[in-house]
This record gives sequence, structure tokens and C-alpha cells, in this order.
Amino acid sequence: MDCRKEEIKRLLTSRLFWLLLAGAVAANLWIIVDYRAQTPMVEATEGLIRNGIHFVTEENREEIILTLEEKETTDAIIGVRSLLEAVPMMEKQFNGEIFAYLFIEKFKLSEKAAQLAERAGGTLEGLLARDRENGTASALFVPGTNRYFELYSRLLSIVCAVEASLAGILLMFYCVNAPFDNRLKEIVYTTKAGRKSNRFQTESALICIALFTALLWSITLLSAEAVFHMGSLWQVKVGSMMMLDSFYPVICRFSVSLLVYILLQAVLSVVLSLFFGMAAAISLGKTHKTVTAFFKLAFCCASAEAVTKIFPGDSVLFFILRFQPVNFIKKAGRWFASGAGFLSVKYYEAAFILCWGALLFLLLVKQYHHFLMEDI
Amino acid sequence: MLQIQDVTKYYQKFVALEHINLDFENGIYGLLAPNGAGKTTLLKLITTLLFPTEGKILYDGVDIRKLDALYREKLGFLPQDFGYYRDYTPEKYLYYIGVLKGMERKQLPEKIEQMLELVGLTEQKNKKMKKFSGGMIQRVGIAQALLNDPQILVLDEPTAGLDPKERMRFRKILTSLSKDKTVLISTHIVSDVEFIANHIVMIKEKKVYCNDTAENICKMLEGCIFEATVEEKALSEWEERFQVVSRRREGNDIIIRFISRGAKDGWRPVSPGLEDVFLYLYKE
Repeated sequence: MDCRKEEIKRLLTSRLFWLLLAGAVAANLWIIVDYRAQTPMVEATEGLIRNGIHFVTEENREEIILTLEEKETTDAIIGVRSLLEAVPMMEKQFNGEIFAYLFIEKFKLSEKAAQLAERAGGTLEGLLARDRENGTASALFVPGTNRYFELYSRLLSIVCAVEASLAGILLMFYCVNAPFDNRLKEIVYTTKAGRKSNRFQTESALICIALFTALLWSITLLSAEAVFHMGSLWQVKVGSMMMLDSFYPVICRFSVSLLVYILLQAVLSVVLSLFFGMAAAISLGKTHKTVTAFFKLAFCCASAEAVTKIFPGDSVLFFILRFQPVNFIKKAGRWFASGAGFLSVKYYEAAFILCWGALLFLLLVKQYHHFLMEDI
Repeated sequence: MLQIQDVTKYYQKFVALEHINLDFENGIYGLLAPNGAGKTTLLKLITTLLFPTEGKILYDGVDIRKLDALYREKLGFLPQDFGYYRDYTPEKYLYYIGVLKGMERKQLPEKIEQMLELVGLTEQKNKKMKKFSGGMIQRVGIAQALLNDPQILVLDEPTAGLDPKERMRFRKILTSLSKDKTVLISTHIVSDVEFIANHIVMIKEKKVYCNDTAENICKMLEGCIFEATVEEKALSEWEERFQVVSRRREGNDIIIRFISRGAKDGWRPVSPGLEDVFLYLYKE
């Protein structure tokens, strides 16, 4: 217990931890500042909510367009008018079948994989019907809102996940490989804690990675709040149509407020950064050389991607292979119907966490036991 | 008691040590051998960094692999080449190592103070170690090895980087500690162990060549060490005929110390020292 505490202290007082955090926060601040031109739009939307307008309907659409259009920046590719005119149509026309069709076409699925996609589409149909009925399908956070609410719907989530995952890798290397990088192995591994200190270091690194991600999200969200003053917008329900625009579509299955939606994204980022942290610890392997491990990890990620792509899309295994940690990061590039990567087997994020979490954990345990027996 | 029973160590196909049998009781043991002879491998085996390919190492009759943490708890190790966290002060570094050694946090500050005083680093305890000289780092290394009051103290080239005054102090520390501990010093500097070690272990060709007191080991060259005064121009001729172990200048002459199986007039017989034996054994 003392060893773990000491390792956490060492990591939290290291320059690396704070430099990584400062770098990630600086990048996020830059993005937030870049979006500050949207502030009048946020204020106007909040005004609409204060006036009791929570959803886009045929009746209130023109009022919303007139209110928001005058606050719109000129750089929007899809304007508020064209977007809001399309929303009711999208809400009516999009259904589980279309989701499934786009997905099947995109990944050239057949046989069992295609059947699974259709079944998954069927479950989405139920969600869409529920949200159409209660009016929350598109709420005020509509899909495809270019430079409007994309900051909250996916951009912050994407950057925080990527930054936290990279930080997870570096922090794990820094912590677990410290006795080797600093020529301390002969002293550390001949103490009472011995090679078991490797376990304490791994656990400490994982705790610090989770803390890093939590801090990153907290600072980023507080900074965003300072710029945008979201106020009552935090309470807006995120409808299932957000699935088209979300980094983590699974969250859109539940009828949650924007605040909860963001918090759930933060939790998934923590999980993802922990996965990459564990993968980094595994990649250290026998060599215990940081640079080698980094390239080994990159090679494994590239291999996972290649296998995912070439694997024939005719079995359930395709879904299992497709949802690997690299793909989670890569989902940053897939959004809206063009990507069609949003469809998933039911609760795939939960399955993803369980399957990959278990696999990485087992590999980590195997490596640890190997380390206890190897020559140093 | 620490026993090494028929230990052999291979690095893949390369044999580093072969059929080593040694018993260590309380006292100072000097492990003498030239560089690359397998000293460090032997120490790494004793400190559990390496595992024997064949044979066993026992502590009080129990395999040290079975004892695991219970054995390492009694161990203090100063490696030949050790690192440190550059931004740490010696105090912080010793605290960190103390925690790894499983020492109680309450006891640590007092113990650290004692160790820093012992190695003469009390005034520098709050300075970052990256600003330390090689000798100061070595003293921190000695302090960490002694921190847990180890029953078995293993020191690999402990005096490297220390000045003569520090070496003297270090030897005094070791002598005072050796009454109730097993101290194992690996070195190729004979003077480090000649007068303080109770036993000398010499390794040659991957095996233990001799394991005895310095006095007994020196007896193997009894009557074979001589001194002679020679002219400078004749020096190379002497070196071709005999194994010259040392030389010193006196005026225009050179006095050489050499090994010879027979005596001649004009040669002055002298008592053999451990260095003579070392040079004789490892002349190749």
C-alpha cells in the first residue's frame, strides 16, 4: 500500500504529468477559443429554451430559424435554415432500416453480419419511435450542425479521448519502466517489494491516468463554460438522432440531459485511456525499452486495424473485431450517414469494455507473472 | 548462513559461472576477480536479480526463491552501476527506497538522518542529486544499501569514485558492521579488501579458484616474491624474464617487485601480498 502511495506521489510530482496536462489543456483551450464565435448562438438558443421551446416542431421551426439565423456565423457550411428545415424530414424518414442499410453497404456485410446489423437497426427503430413520440428525437441538439453544437456533441470528446489515451501510454511508460530507464532496477528489484513493485507501479499509473483524464475533462468543461455560459442548455435532452453525430452512439440510446451525456463521454474516455495505458504496459514486454515498446504498440494498433479491415464481414466475429480500442479512437473520423459507422450491436460499448478489458487485463497479468520469473 | 550449492549460470549458451559452491557466515568476504570473470553474475544470483540455471542458493537452509520477500528483506545491495531519480534529494530518494524495503514510515526519517550522517551527506540532504559528484552519488548508494540494517550486505565495486579519505571511512564502516552481518564485497581493487576481509574468494575460469583467509592465500607465493634494484635500461629484460608485479623509482635506480620460483644473490625476499597473488593468478 505504501509503495503504491509513493509511486502515485512520484508520478503526480513529475514534470511529465503536468506538461502533458498543460499541453492537452492548451490544445483544448485553442479549440474552445476557436469556437467562441458561436457564443451568440448559444445565448439565443438558451433564450428559446427559457421561452419554453425545447424541441424543433413544424409549428415552431420558423421562429427558431429567425432567432438563430441572425446570430449565425458566416463560416457555417450547413446553415441553420437548411439544417432545421431538414430536421423534421430526417426525423420522419430515418429509421432503423435505413441505419442498417447504410451500415451494411459501408462495410460490405453479408450473411450473419448483415442479419446482426438488421437486428441492431431494429432496436434503434424502437428508440427513434419513443423519442419521436416524446419530441426529444432531435431536441435542440440536432445532428450535423456544422460548427454549432458539434463542440459538445463530439469534438471535445474526441480530443479528450485522443489526448488522454496518448497521455495514458506515456504515463504508463514513465511509471512502469522507471527502474529500467533510470538504471534503478538493481536497487528496486532487490528490495522487499522486489519485482512486485512492478504491480504497484502499474496500478499507480492506472490511477494517475484516470486522474489525468478526469482533470483534463474538468478543466476543459470549466473553460468551455466560462466561454459559452450554457446555463439551462445543460438540461436539454439529447435525442436519439444525436446518434448520427455522437462519438459514443451508445449514450444516445438513453434519454439523458446534455450534462449527463458529457459526463458519460468523460467516463468512456477514462476507460479508453486506461485501455491504452494497459496496452502500453503490455508492450514493454521483455525488452523494457520505452522506444521499442512505443513502436511495438503502434505496430499492434496498425495490425489490429488491418485485420479489422480485411476480415470478411459475414460473421458475428466481424463486430467483435471491429470494436477494438483503435477503432474507438478512429470513430472520430466517422460521423453522419457518410460514415455509417454509428450502428452497433446492442450495448456494444459495454461489450467492448468487458471483452477488451478482460483481454488486456489477462495479458497484463500474464506479463506480470512472467516478469516475476525472468532474469533482470 | 548463506549457501551457494553447485550453482551454474548460463546466458543462453554462454557459461557465466560453473559449479559454484560457497558458504557465507558473518564477516567480510572479498570477492576478487578481474573484470568479466563473473563477479557481478554471482552477486546478481545472490541478490535474486538472476536465477541459477542449475543449483540452489539457500539462506538458513531454505531456498531463497521460496523465501522471496522474506529473504530480500534481509538484503542490502549496492550495484556497480546504479541510477537515481535526478530530481530527487538524497533524503527523498532514501525515503522512496525505504518504503520499497518495507520499512515503517515512522522509523524512516530517523533512520535516514543516521544514514546521511554516516556517509557525510547531512548538509546536502535537501540538494537535488543531479548536482552531485560521482563520489557523493556513491555515498548515497552506500546509505541506501545500509538503510534497512541488512543481514546480508552485497557491495559491487563499492569504492568506485570515492576519494582516499572516503575509502578509509567506508572501510571503517564495514569493519564495524561485519560483526553480526555477512558482508560481501566484489572488487578488482585488492587494497579494498586485503586488510578488512575475513575471507577472500577468487574466481578464475568461471569457477571458485580459492576461498580462504588473505593470510593463507598469500602463503601460496611464500618465498617467491623478491625485490631487486635494476637500472632503467635493464628493466625490459627483467620484465621478459619475470612477472614484475610493481616498480618504484629511487634516485636513478628502479626497484622492482617480481615473482620467481628460485632466489639469487642480490634479490631481497619480501612477504607476499594479496595483490601479488592476484597478479600472479590473472597474469593472462
